[in-house]
Amino acid sequence: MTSLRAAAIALACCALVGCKDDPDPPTGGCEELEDIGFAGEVTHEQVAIDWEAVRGGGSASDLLEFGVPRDLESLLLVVEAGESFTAIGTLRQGDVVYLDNEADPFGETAPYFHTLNPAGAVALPANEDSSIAPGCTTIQGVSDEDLSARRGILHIVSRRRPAGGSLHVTVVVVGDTDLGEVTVEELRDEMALVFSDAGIDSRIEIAAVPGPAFVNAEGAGAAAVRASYVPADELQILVYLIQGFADEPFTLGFAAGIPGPNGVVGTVSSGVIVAVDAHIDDEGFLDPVLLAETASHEVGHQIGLFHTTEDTGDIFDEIGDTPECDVSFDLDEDGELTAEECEFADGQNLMFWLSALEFSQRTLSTAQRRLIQLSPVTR
Amino acid sequence: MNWRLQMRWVSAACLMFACGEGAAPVEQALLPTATEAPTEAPTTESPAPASAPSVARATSPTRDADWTNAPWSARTLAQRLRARHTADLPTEVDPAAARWVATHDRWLVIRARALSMLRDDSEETRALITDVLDDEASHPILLSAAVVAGRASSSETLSARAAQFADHPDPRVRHAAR
Repeated sequence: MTSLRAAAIALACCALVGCKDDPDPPTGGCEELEDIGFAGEVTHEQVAIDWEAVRGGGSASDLLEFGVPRDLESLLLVVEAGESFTAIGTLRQGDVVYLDNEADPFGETAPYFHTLNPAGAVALPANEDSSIAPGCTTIQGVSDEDLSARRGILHIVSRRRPAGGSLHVTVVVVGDTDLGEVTVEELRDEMALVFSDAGIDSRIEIAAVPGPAFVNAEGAGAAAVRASYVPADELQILVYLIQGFADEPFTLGFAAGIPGPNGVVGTVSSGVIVAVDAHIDDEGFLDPVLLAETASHEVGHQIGLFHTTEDTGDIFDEIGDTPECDVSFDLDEDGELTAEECEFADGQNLMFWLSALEFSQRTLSTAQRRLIQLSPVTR
Repeated sequence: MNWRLQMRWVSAACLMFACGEGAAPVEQALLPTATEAPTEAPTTESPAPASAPSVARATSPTRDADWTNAPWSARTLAQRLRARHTADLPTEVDPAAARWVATHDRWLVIRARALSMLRDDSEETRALITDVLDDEASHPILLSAAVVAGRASSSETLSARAAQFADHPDPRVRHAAR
């Protein structure tokens, strides 16, 4: 077993918030190990990990230990190995197991639903009841590829400050992507309005990067786009605008994970991608309202919010205070719940599975808002 | 929903789009409503280059389609086609409803989704698809991609015509043709 702090010497850094001595003594319960992060701050630390091939295929990292301090508000863990699918294979404190990829390889266990993904990430808490407790914590990264000749990185983004602040977002225009007469400033303002209506204060910046206006939705093209903007200020969500997805022209946009590696830029999953041309009206004009609502919905996924209700009305998110639209709302009995059928449940929620035909969807529950306010990108 | 599952559903939905078919008398032009272009108006215009902007100006339409004469299931279909993720799109559609949505919805991508899902070989559907194939340059790229993507289960004639788009300047149409 490796001391995380010892292994971290080469790569450890503090993004944005600056490195300094932790004024608080260790409280995490690991002998001779420092706690993660710094009191009162959001901190991004990195640890180099070595991979070993495992029987049956894939690979696993060494076991690492770190101390979770009592003042930790939220934690985001990311295992990065280029474009390879990775996950937190083990996350436990003594007998308390938070994640076990071996027992749950497909991420079917609530509330994290954590499984392999490029730059696989998990956020704690994921709902009202899933904060990580203080104490000595053991973690191991896994991959379904043999990465034994390569190195990886464990990113630890810790929040040791109260929830709240502004959600930081940067809208990144890729290459020659054209918004017509809609300006990116208009889009920024619409997104700010969506978040404001949902009770979230936001701070949205604008940037541009060279790159293709069209990429495939999956594969190297989209991965390269998500890794293309690397601001000095890492603690933000990146929303990449492209003209369209070459292989999926009817895709509006998508997040890189639920959650994505928020607070870590430059990975293949760092940001959401939204297709401009999928938000054109029947007269050929871009609708910035639709585009802003799509972008905001995908930001919700990237932070870790699931759809409040899925299509058939029998799967819901794991958040206790989001209304559920079950099959009793299926007025036409076609087996699927539309936003209109669910208007007085969660049909107006930003994270409903369908875009509404008849009304806007700009509400979030108290717990949804709190999860956003606990994210490392809100400060 | 777990994320990996969702990713797989996305892939499945992509395959689904290679299944449109059929074609016929156009109920309403697929062209943008403001254009009012004739449905049978072959043009000599070249397809827009891939880099040409597909969007024009800002608008936030509050209008909606007039549903008065729509097939009974068209409104529900239009709602379901508003899935935020393609993995959640319906797998079967009523052709009459899909044709109506493909020609009336105010959101172009919803029209395209409806068009791509037409699998019947009725005269009406064939006319709708033929209209785009005959006058591709005048139609929005998304509709062209929808028709070309749907060639796999259409008649041989339409498949052959759609395959001619393999060298189209827009990568979405080109990808759909392959």
